[in-house]
Amino acid sequence: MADAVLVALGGMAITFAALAVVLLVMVILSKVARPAKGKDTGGAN
Amino acid sequence: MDQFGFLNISWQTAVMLTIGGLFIFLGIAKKVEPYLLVPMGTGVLMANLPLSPITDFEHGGLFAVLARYGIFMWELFPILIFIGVGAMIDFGPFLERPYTILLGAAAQFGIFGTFLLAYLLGDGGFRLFDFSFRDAASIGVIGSADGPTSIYVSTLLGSKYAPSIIVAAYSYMALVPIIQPPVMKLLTSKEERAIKMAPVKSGHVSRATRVLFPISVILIVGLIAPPAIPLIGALMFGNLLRECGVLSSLANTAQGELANGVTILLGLAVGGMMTAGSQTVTVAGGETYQMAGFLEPATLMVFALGIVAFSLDTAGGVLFGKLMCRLSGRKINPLIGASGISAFPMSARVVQKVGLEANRYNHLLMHAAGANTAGQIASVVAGGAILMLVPLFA
Repeated sequence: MADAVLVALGGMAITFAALAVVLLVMVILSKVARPAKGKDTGGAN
Repeated sequence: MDQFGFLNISWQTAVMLTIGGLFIFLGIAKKVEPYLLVPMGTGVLMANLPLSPITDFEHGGLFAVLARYGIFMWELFPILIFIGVGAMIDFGPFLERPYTILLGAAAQFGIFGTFLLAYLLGDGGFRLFDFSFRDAASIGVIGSADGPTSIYVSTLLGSKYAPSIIVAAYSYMALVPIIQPPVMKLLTSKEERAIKMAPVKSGHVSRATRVLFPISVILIVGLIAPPAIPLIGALMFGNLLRECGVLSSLANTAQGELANGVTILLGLAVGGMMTAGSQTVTVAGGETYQMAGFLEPATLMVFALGIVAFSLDTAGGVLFGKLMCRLSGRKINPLIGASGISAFPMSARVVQKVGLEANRYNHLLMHAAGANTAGQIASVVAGGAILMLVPLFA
């Protein structure tokens, strides 16, 4: 059962770590690639 | 005389034929996941008719071929489906609220919590059911609320419950409006559910961000959780087709013909795997998969654990939402955490409905859609984490 607890904790840690990095990159991207006024923002906006 | 099918009907056959008929009824008459339940129900009927040659792995029955190449050997179907899903999803609501990705991560708690519970009921504790380490991890993946991820992980781990896991993952997605609200209400006060969230200014996301997003996700997730590369790569490739602005015909094909064609084959193949008795699937090199029968007690327990998985997902998301609510000075409604699961867009709609019940001026849909699309990515990452870690111990 200890192995299973390790997998569960490790799995949650990997998931949070990977998505935290995605979040960080997205925040940086949104600062670097701001839409200019009047420019196409990809349709949905 | 033994060649007549009707002379070989058993009660198990009758039950399976009824289940197949029920799937078709639910799909057509009640419009419950019709794209999947109708092909799947038809597959169940064809596979369970007595003396049916269609699941014969020795002599190349149609369903045997589909299951062998589309699911067990090459895992083609989940990957191709994800290209279509990626082309369908607008990640705009998420990109406008990138913090929602953490709610997506928290809502994967159901995967790992259910894994622990399944292993405790099986080989890791009480031994009430024949759940090995790999079976338990596969059962947990029902909590991804994501059909392709459930298929991919459970077959790669070689779980004998793969067909039931796949059916549970798909069918519980349709039951999200029933499973989630009680958990959401149990864990939040009316005041919390009534918190209004400020709308996000539109025009916030540039086209460059939309194009760079799928590429970034492939690189980041691929570097951290390599087993997730086929799924996240397919999902984000589909999204790149949608967002790049120069491949609209390919994006249309991916979300139309490709997704529809694979859905037909996948539905039939999964239905064909749902037989009353156990089956042995032989793939290349003589490797075999033993699949549990659909009417065995352990298989029925898999379905019960599926409900637990969805409930724990909801609890994980809502509790993390409460944390974010506190940290943000009550600017974030904790309900949106419940939509951190991959069931898109049902879960976001459920959050909107529960939010409106508490405050009729409260429109949480777009905030919840952000968490919901984030949950799509989070479920794949969690599946990749399971594939990374489980082989180290089993």
